Amino acid sequence: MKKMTFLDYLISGFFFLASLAALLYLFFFRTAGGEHLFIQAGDKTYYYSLDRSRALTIDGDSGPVFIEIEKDKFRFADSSCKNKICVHQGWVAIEKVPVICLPNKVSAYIVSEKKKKDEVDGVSF
Amino acid sequence: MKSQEDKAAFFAALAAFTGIFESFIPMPVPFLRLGLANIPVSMGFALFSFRQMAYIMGFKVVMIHLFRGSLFSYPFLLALTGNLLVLLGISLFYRIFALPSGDPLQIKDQREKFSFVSVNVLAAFLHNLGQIMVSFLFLPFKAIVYYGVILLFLGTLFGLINGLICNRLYNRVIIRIFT
Repeated sequence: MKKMTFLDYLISGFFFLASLAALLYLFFFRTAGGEHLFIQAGDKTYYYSLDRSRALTIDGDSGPVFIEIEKDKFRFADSSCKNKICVHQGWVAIEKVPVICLPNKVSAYIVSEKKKKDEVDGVSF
Repeated sequence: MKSQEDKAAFFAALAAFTGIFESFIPMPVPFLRLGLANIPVSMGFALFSFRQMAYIMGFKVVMIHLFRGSLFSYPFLLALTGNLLVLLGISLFYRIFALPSGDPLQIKDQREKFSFVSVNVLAAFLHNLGQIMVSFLFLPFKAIVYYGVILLFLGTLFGLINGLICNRLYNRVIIRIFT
């Protein structure tokens, strides 16, 4: 007979609280400031302001990735990859939530302006 | 189903089927799965040997990715690493906390200090950890960390729910069918 035991409560409680703490730390203690889109494609890094709409074409490992930016949000509109998991993710407006195209080795996420200066040494647009 | 091999084949087919079925359920976060395929897999750890579990999990991964059309691609590599880590980690967990037995349903069950909740939560963590580790080879550190934190939290949550489902299924169905 399988029933919840002390070890079950201990293990599930530990992993739940630890992962919740990490989630809260990363996503809810956000720095204020203007938002930018940070894109990394292989070794290249790019920066785009999210204050106006635009369409981008980023060269990935297996072909181009098309990224659309609208006011304070972005999405992978299309990609040359097969499964298009990145495209199906849709619009992202939350800081630090990444969209990743694994076959193309392209990743993108929103960062605050303050962090931009601290963390990234890339091309700004 | 008389032999353990027959039972292992049944569980492998069940795991592959639930995994393929799960592919049709849309999720808000890509790469995230409910882990339905892990229900037969985690119950299998209580019933089968390490070698039989390797067969069940290997069959599951190959069949799911064959149906998704992603065999030998990046997602396949991620899933393979995750499953390998689960196989090694959960086998070690059973070795430490449960006594090995020739008649697992009768003897191992009574001496275990844990239920499928621990197994599922640990398996979800190990699976995601394996995937995150491999992802570091291809993608920038920060993107993976942000992604990994979301996956680990949701994985723990789904692992907990799957564990409770496993406990019920095992007590009400599996024990009756396989003993």
